[in-house]
Amino acid sequence: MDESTIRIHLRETFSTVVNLPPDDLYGSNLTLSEIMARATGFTNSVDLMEAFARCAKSTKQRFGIRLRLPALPLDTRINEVIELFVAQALEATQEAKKNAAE
Amino acid sequence: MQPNEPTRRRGAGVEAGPPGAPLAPERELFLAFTRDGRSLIDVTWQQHVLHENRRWSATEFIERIDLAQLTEADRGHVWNAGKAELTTKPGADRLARQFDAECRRHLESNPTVAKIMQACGTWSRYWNEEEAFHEATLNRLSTLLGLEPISDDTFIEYRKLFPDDDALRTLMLLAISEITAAVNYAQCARHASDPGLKALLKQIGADEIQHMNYFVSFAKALVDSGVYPPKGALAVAVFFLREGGDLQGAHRDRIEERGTHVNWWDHIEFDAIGAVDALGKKEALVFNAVERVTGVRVSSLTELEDAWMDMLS
Repeated sequence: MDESTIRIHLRETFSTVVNLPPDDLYGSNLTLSEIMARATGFTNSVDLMEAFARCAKSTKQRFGIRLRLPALPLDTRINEVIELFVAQALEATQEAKKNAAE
Repeated sequence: MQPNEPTRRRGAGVEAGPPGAPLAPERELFLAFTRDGRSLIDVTWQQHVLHENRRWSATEFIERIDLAQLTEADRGHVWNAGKAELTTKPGADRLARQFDAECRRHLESNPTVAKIMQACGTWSRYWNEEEAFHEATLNRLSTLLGLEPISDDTFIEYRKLFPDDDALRTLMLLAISEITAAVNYAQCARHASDPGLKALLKQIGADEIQHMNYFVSFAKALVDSGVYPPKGALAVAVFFLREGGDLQGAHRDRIEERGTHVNWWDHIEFDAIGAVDALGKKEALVFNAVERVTGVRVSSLTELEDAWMDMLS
């Protein structure tokens, strides 16, 4: 798994989960509050947290990587969140490699 | 009764629930309606007897506090708690309105769920009244102690109604709010040196535990009905316990600005009450509540997240 693969996976999965086009999400680099307002059926930030949890579950199933789900301010932009998860995934991958080598 | 013990109304001398049942919130509300054939009148009487049995006198509790003996920490606890309690009335008002609406929404499709919703909405009047004692008592104490007055603007701000959410998530959030409050009051009581203040804080903390038990009971009944998937309850628990989550209250690096309502745990000034925080106890009680509501046993955030994610499609 490389950085690009995980980034594409996260972007596609999140777009599918919230049912918003990638161009809207990542092209406009929406904030979390803007996503909450646009996503159908979202009531509050628990729904947003669940959307990220679905991405984390999918990432675990496909790559065997566990992502943490920290609370983030609602003015955080989606590309920043994706990069946070990418960094977590890379860190977990390196850690796994290190453990395997020991 | 001990000479120094404030008045509490004791025993109505009648059965509150099924024969031999303890005086406590109904633990199996779904079965009470479906298996035992109990009516809303029966359940309401059980609520009323428990409420009446637990009443206490605010004026008598205040009279037994030696105001001159209170420490700076005690005074900080009283002021913060009194201000926080201002938010419970809009919480209860919202519960009454929302759960009556939920009752009518389910009336034809699932009469048992409609009854659970109505039982909860009905109980909200007791919750509201009991919380009123907390608010009035603590804010009166603040006034008598000459602490910074709470302005009418703040009072009105703290009365803002909470936005609606899914019923199960609402109940779980309220259960965790009561857990947080109960642990805070227990910590404050432990640090209070004046016996009168200690007794008051312990009494309020015991009320909050009872409220938590009610929210757990209603939430469990919704899950037992099969209409509300347990994932909603686990989601709210994760929301509070996650890194930077709401259980950390005012300790968080950043508190979300909200125009809609006030979450009391966002505004406790912990600098004044550094000893109050007891995250481990709160987490353990949240895990216990999760198990009672959903049957899912977890003992860490990782286990909780795993269990929750297993439920997600």
